[in-house]
Amino acid sequence: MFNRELVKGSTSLILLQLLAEKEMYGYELVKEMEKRSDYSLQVKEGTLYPALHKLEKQEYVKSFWKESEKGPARKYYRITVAGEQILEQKTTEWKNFVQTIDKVIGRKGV
Amino acid sequence: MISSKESYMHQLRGLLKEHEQSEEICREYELHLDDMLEDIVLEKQYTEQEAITIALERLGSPKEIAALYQEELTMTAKKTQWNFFFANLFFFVGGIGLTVIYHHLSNPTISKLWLFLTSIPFFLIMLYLFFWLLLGYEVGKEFGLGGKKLLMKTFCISLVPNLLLMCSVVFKIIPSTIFEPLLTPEFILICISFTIMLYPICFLAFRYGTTRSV
Repeated sequence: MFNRELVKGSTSLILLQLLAEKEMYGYELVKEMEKRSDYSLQVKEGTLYPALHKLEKQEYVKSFWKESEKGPARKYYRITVAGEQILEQKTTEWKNFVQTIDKVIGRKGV
Repeated sequence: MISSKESYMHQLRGLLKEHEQSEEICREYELHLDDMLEDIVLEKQYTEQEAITIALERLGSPKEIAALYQEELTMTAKKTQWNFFFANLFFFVGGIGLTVIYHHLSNPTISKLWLFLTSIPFFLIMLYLFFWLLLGYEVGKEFGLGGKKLLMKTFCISLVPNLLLMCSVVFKIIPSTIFEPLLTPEFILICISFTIMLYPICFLAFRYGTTRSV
């Protein structure tokens, strides 16, 4: 398990990345996040929807209700062109940040 | 301690009733809870009551969730738009008030303040520029790339006092003499070019703000 603040700061980036691959509904996003991180990334699931709604307000994602294969209709989220642009920007920024931190930690020999 | 799905949803509905999409949001949480409960019971062989306790813990309390939506409610597009309009109006009312008082009352403190402010016009321009940078940045940061229309609207509305004052001076509705010694040709030229440059400057700050939106 990681520091909660660290995860909170990167939730939007993760959501945008997952939605860039395919449209998903909230619970599906949580499951996918857990699966890909080998269950290390566990967020308070209720905090996911305010993050999704903020991304929607910013027009980085769009939502729509769709019948699911099994069970009732779900609210799906899909990334927009603006969302793809910001994802690209933030991914580059994140990679640079990680590289820099790696360098600094490496120099200290930790 | 909430012990059933129904009471959880009841509490959440109550806390989110102010939100315009309250019903839709609650429906999403309800579906999420159903999915969780199904998975917990299936995968881990818990009883229904144990599953509810685990699911509600993973979801977070209704108060925590409502607090996150409250943040969203405090910064709506309309509030942002009017906050900036009134902030700009405040500068104008303050400036006009000071000018009127200076010309009609011989108060030494006001006279000193007036003389000091009219001796630093370019510093005041830079300070005022900061207001427009802040407008662009805040809209970009809060509303992301989707905030373009809001930026344009807020910009146009906030600019109304500027244009009204300029027209009033140009058409001599307000005598230009009351703004002496500020109204030098050089200062007027700077004001005109500055007004033309305001939107591009604001837009650059908006673009920078969008990089902080995620």
